[in-house]
Amino acid sequence: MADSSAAKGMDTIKQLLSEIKRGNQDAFRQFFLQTYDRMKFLIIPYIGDEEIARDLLQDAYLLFWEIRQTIRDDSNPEALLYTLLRNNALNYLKHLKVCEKHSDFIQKNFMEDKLNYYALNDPVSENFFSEEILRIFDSVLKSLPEKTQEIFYLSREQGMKYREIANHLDISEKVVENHIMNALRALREALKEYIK
Amino acid sequence: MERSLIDKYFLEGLNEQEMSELMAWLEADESSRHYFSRMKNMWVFAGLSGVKPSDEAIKESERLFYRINKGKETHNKIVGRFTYFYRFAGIAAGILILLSSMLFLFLLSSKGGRESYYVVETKAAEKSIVHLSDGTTIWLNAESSVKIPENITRKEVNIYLQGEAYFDIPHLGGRKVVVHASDLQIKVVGTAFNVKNYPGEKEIETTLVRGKIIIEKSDGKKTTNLAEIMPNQRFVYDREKQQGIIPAVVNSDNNRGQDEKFVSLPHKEVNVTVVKKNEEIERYVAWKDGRFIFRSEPFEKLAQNMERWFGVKIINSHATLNKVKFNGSFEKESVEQAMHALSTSYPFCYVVSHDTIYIFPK
Repeated sequence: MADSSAAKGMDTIKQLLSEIKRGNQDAFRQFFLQTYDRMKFLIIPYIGDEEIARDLLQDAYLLFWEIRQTIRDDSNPEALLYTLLRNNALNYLKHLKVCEKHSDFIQKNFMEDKLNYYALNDPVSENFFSEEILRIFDSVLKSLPEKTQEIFYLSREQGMKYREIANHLDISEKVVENHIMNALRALREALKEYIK
Repeated sequence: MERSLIDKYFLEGLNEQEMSELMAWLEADESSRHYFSRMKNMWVFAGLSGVKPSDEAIKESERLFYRINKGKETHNKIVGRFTYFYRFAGIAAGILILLSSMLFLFLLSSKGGRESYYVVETKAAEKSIVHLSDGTTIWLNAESSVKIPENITRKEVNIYLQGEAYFDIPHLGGRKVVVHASDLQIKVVGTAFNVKNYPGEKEIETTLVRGKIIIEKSDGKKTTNLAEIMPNQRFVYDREKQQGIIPAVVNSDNNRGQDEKFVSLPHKEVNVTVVKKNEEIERYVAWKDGRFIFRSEPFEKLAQNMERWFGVKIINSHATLNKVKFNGSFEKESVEQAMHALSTSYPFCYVVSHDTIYIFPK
């Protein structure tokens, strides 16, 4: 059921594209409202800073609007938007890397930014937008025990720390970690073709 | 084995040492880099289907459409003038910097009629040098004005500054010189120093090159001693918080922070940080020799300084750029060349039209 609604969402987004290309700002606003939170969710883990992430998102949407006439009719607008956003974020991280090398920035932050740069720079991240993979994610998560699903949800979607989840559910942090580990293993197994 | 390090990265997070280990492993081997990248991307995408709509999206959509519709106007304005200006941009900027001493000198009488003052003013992209009979020299930066008493050798000399100036004032026995910058008073004892006091800016900055200065604050009734500044120190005063600090300056050893020490002064509202040494004071006064140096400067602030330096208006519709920090220096560069240099360091598009520069995301 969730699958069909996700696919339906995809359809409306594609329908919006032809209106956006005609310069219809209302259609673009709808597209923005439907995709904004998803895009933010995807970029925050690489950027960390909320304010910077918001600005990167702004610039990506602005660019999307400016190049709207050149977008192919059969493209997935959300995936395109993600590509623009990813480019912005990579530019930002690249510049940061240069700056931090010359500043007193603590070493750990420097390494984290570098790791995020590696990860985001991997072109496979764009493939994750395919409907096939999004469906695999859905079915893997649904096949997990209920508790694991719940804990995964609290961690990834609510952004709760493991300690907070442990307190919230009145279990030990170790147990939380085990559930997360199981989710991670299941995902890795199901997607091993893609992450090889 | 390192795979467990990757698991730990996603589970409880890594400490600094583990992070270095992981880093070393990833840097040594491309396939491990791929593996890590894909795991991280998978991890990020896995939660996507559960994202809930937020109020932030509505707020941010307002911001976006404001930018879209503002951008339309700027595009219309640019058409047609671009090539014309481009040809002259380099020459014009060069002339503006070289012939910088277009100054407006006129005599003013103070209210009581007891003392007469000169006022020297500069516009954007102008600079000015004032030589006085006692050997005092004042370099005045762009968009600034300084009010100097006609009789510079009297017992008490009051100089008033708005904007930025570098003062070189010789020590004369028995003479007291005070530079007024908004509600700060800088008491001078034979000295060379720089004061930056632009009304629109958050802070008043004083940089001492030689001699000694004492900084006081006055609210009309009461005068408070804020700090005594030694050579190679800076004093940065926050107008809003009414607090000042002496920040450490990054030196070539990259050991910022270690030399900082917190000292409480007799007056509780002031926190002062004391620095042992400071080698990069140069960049705060380089403007008087025609060099524009910036270090770790967020674009927002840099643009403000560039507007004054080049006498241009910068309209930025690239929000991310504002927080990006830049290092560098300009000397004879035109504003075109300066923009080009900045945009190679962090990608953005710009269009120069007359004396306005429009910036867009790339």
